[in-house]
Amino acid sequence: MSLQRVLRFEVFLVLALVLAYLAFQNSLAFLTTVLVYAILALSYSFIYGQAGIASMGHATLYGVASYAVAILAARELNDPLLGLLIGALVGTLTAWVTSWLFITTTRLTLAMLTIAVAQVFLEVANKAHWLTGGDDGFTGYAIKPVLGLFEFDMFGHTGYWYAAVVLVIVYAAMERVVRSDFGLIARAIKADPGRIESLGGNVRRHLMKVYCISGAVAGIAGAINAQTAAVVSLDSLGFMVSINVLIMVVLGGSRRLYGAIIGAVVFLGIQHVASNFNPHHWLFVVGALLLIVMTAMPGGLISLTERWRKPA
Amino acid sequence: MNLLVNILIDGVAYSMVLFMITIGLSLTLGLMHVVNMAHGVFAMIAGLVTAHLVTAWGVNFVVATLLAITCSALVAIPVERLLIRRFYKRSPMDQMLMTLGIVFIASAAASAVFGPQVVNVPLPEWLSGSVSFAGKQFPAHRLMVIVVGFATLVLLYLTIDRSRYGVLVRAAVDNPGISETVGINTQLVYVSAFAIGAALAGLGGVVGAELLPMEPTYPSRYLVLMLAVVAVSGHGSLASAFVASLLLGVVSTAAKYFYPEYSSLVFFGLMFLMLKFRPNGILSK
Repeated sequence: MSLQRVLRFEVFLVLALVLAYLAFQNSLAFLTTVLVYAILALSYSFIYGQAGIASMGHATLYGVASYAVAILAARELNDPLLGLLIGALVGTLTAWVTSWLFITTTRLTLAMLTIAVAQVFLEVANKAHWLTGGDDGFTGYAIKPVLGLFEFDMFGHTGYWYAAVVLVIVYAAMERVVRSDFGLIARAIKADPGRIESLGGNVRRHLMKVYCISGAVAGIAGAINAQTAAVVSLDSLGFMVSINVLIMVVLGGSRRLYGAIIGAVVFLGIQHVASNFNPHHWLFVVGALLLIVMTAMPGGLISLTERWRKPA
Repeated sequence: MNLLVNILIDGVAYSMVLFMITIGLSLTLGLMHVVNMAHGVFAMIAGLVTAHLVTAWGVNFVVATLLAITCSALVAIPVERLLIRRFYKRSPMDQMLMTLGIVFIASAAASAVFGPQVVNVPLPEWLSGSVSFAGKQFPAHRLMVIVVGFATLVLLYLTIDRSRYGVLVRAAVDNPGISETVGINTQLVYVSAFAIGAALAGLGGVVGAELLPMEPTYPSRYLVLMLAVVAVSGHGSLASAFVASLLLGVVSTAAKYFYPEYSSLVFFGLMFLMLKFRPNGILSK
């Protein structure tokens, strides 16, 4: 039954990706951004929705991997798939190194420490002008064709399909992890870490593993961002990235992974429309969105479909 | 020597501003267990209202400040009753996100009304000059901030430790269930404490506008700073909030003097150390 539901969402996802491609040929760059954020939101949903790690500095994992992929691409390590691997490795490593600072803390302390880690990385990237380009962003690197066949074109066709395929693979893989014993233990830790500890589990080590997996996926999102946008800016390490990802996951619903994808699509869709309409009022829209979601539907958008499904 | 005195005065003044702004946040966290990210909004409201009253209507600075912090408290009451109250029992993340929503809305509103630039809060003449003392010149404004800060500390201490209201607050912090059973109106305690916290944030915002300039992004720009003070102090006591403000304020001011390039790294480094080695608060055993 549950397997059926997973497959159903995967089929739905592929269909939606094809339809979106056909319907919005003129804004493929925007759609690619949506896909990158969907992958990033998946990685966040994994730590927050499954393991309860309420980080407010998720941009760290994404931004550091983005910079690493771009900087290495400028030094001839510019095969896209190699870039994905580099992104995943750097993301994992960043997650592993930073997690010891905060992984056992909770609530406000966790939020503060993750924000602080993100700020420190932002500050360092800003100061290390020789390496990252500082304020100007990092540019001037080219990415080889995917598999040697598909060149990244200026209209973003390759970029879109590249990101789309990675999204589907990442989603399927993460869903597997969530359904495994590993995922079950993560949810158990979220519910009651003390009990897992007393049953002989190593909460700290398990949370670190969860965080590292999330780091790998966030790193992949960062890699695709660097490869398709052809520029990495300081914004990729900024507080707003962390907050936006958080809002996406909460908006979509954090109880299931696919909520993250839905949240990313809805959030960026609203942002796209609202900023075309009036860019200055976007902040107002985000605020109102947060208030409405938090007060009226704490389970996110996916809780609506579940409510609708139940009576049957 | 002169430099050290300057750093000390600036640092202590800065600490007092941090203390006044964040004490309400600490109180709310200890009392209602709500992480209120929108606390800076109240400081901003008071700052902007003061600036408007003084520049547009020519109101006396002290009167304008008093009116403005009343405004902050009045805005705080419906915010607590309509929004925060629903989130007492929710997860910290839900609380943070909801209150962050308030921050964004307030920033958008402030920018729509006052424009996106920094709004100057004009000081009266007796505060913009300097005071000579023991053969040295001291900036009057910094001394005023320090005096107001200490006055706030003493007043709060007397209120919480000596008054009947303080007894009610402490009872509600220690055990809300039993407090209600013995007839304390905890809801009234919550909303009044929240409004007092907002008024104090407003006071800190107005007198500290020279150090933390008023602008529409004020609540989010200084959010990390405020939360850092609260996190380092650990939730609860007046003394720990004061000591945490003093430590972070003086150290970050000193860092700005000596290593302006790396002052934020010093600040975060100190915060890391404090949270790592004193995770339950700066004065914990």
